[in-house]
Amino acid sequence: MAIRIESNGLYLEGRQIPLYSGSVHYWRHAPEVWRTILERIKELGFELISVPIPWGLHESGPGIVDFGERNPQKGLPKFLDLCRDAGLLAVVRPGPVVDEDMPYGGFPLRVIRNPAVWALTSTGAPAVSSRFAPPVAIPSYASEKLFQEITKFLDQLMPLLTPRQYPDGPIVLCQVNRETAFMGRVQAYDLDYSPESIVLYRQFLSEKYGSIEVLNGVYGGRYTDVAEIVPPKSCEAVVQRDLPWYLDWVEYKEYLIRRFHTRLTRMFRERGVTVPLAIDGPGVFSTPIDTLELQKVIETPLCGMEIEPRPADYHGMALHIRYLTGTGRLPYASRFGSGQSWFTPHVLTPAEQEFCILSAVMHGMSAVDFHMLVEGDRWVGAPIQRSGAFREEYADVFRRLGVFFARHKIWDGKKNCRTLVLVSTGLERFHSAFSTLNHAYLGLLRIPRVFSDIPASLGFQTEPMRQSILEEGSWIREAFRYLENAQVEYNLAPSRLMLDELTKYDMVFVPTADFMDPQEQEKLLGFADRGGHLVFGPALPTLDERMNPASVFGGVMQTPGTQVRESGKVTFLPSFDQAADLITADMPNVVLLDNPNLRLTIRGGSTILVFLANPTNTVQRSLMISSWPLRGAWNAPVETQTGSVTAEVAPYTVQVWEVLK
Amino acid sequence: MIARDVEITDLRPDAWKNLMSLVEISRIADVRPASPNLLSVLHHGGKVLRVYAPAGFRVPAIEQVGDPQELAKKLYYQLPGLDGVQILEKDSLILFSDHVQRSDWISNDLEDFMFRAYALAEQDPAGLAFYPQFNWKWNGLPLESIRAWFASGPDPCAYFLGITRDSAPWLTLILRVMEKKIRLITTIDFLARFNIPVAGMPSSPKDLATVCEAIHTHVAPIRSALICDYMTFARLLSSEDKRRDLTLAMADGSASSFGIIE
Repeated sequence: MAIRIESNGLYLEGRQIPLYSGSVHYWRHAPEVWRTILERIKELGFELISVPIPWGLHESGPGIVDFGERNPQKGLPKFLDLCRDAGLLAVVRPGPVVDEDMPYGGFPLRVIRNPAVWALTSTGAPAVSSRFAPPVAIPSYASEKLFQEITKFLDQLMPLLTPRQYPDGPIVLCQVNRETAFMGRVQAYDLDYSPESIVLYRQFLSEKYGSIEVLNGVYGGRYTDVAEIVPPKSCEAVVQRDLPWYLDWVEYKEYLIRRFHTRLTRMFRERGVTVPLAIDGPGVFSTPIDTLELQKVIETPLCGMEIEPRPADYHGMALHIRYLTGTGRLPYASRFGSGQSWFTPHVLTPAEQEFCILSAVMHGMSAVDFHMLVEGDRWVGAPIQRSGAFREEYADVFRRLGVFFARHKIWDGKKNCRTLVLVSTGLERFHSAFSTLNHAYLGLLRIPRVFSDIPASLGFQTEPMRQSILEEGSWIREAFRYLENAQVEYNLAPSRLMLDELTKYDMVFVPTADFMDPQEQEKLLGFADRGGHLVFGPALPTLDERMNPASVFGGVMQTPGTQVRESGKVTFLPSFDQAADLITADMPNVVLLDNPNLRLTIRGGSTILVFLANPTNTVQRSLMISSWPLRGAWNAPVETQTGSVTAEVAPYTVQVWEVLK
Repeated sequence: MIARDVEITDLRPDAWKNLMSLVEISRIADVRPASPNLLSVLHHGGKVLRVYAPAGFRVPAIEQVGDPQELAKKLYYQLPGLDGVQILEKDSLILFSDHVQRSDWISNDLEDFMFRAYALAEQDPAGLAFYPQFNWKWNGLPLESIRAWFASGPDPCAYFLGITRDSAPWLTLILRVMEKKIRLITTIDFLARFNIPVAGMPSSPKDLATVCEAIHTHVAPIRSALICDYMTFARLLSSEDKRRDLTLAMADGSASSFGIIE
């Protein structure tokens, strides 16, 4: 393959191109303005655009497609050729889900109204999502009919795309699907109970356990055949040994997503797609999305995430970017709003847009696609209007940022980060499984969240339900707070991250429950044996994930405290109240602050940049102490300063300081 | 009322931001209060499973639900300050979710699905009891009458709303209705496509005439238009006699309009 992916973007036969793009909805613009639009995009400093291809737009009946032959506005090949002529490269997004504010998520109504393609709820209803306007029945990842329909479309589409792949054409990347997890419906017992899905569920159980005897041993059942097993529809576990049946259903849904995308990837490859593939997740940190496995499926580290820029949600956005940075070699925000959807209650100002982009960069974003760089339908605040004219105040943000990024070779740099927080796969699966009353549309009635909790206690020493990343007050959330108060930047990753990846960090935090995969514990101890500092809590695991007695951490330490190992350390920390001296002077705090409201990160590359964000609505001041001479590079005084610098940061802004070597 | 393939385009960010703040105030499409002051009781066949009360409300012990409608009403008056009480039977909730998703999701109207969902919740009074009942009005105007009004105009036709604040342009909104449905939602930026200078917002009857002429030519014949300042519009929203107050506002010059009172 002539194209490879590195930590600073795409390499086209040795030439580095940052994965820095914006999406254009060709069908929403008259062909007469296409050329103008592409020129405008280049003027904003982009070399790449992304091009969603809505199936439902091009198909007018079974097997009848229009790629511009009848309606020039649907002229995808012509548009891609114009990109090439304009010197722009392209990321194509053929779906099958494209969303992009298209009716029915981009599916043809003919396809999506067919019951044979529907995912079904636990009551047998089609899983209808109103996230889309108009609503849409969510397709089943298990539906053979859906695959047949996708096949027909790809057979017509791919002959137009594959000759336009680099170096013969502008296409350098192809995204597989969107809304990767059931169009965002991720609750355990919501879907998919379609007959074909249940067949796959049983296939998953067979593959996992190998024999019905082994399964019976885990379930405590008397099944004679896997076909007798029905999936759970709500959690009614009363003792620990009940749990595997529920946990397997949760794990099955990860399997289902993986299987669907494996098959989709194969379909793309079989039809001649040779450029690297990308995929995007719906912004969840764990089940049913298994980011690491999906990266294996598409054979690239480009499992991106949708980021909705909202200044008031700085901390949430930073967490998502930290997750991308912890899991992928090229942290990719695969859909970063340049502007916002029409129904948003808070329309971004240009200054807020700037704040959000720089905030994402400071926390590690190294690749991005700006959604609707050119304004289409149902969108507000794009830098380029539908007519092709700049929306000047927004365009100015992108223009200035483009120059700044290029001048400082921003995409060549990486965030300095020596601390990793792991999201426990086992805990998150438990959190998902141990729930009830998660049926769709109950939110309309403002059902309190506690109504979905199960009051039963399963006799664990430490209540695992409260330890999910989704729960305020959980150990992992306390770890975030602790690190942020100590001004320590961190990344986030699934607990199944490989040992070699862990050893890139000095310190790893992992939340634990009474149960934990013993192999995962061994791996984490391996990290400490290679010189790292492992911090775990709040529980000392005594069971494996099938609730059988097993203890690996327990073999090392039984009581809270720190144990120094041959070259590293292990700390058992039940509560962060006892964490005062956890971070010692050898932690890499190069620049110190005295204002915990400000956030600071360092991004190193050919130039080292210090980012200082004020995610509050009031002016914040702080003393920065630096052993390096600093000079303002963005929003900061340009005079060279050394030693201690008093920084004054306006509300919702980011300052950037360049380190002078 | 709103076509499923409605075009929502050329939204001037500042004007749209202001419109959204009005929508939020008036809760145009939300029949349920978003307020946290909602007392919820979950029961299963009469046996109470959970009670959730907003902070500061002391709820009497409830172990059994007999007549849920009666209980909702009783609790509402017993606990002043509540916005609402809902008594929810667990199986009915599951059925509600099921019925919503089995309803006709392929509709010609964008808003149909959500309104139908709320209506389904009202159709099981023994299982899902609410007090007070859902609010099917927008700022005092019944939703059905708003729908009927949009459907009763000439075909096609357009509507224009312009609001100023502190003498500066604050909001513009243009709607095009065809075949009894709103098919275009846009702002005055839409007119830029036709090389009509729209840097400012019309603030006088003469300006209004100019803009209306452009809308007439490029969007559709205008059925009604209103220009006023923010305070006047806010007053009209909350007014119980909107016709009288609009007439007064026009008389004292704080509003210009046509096609509304008639």
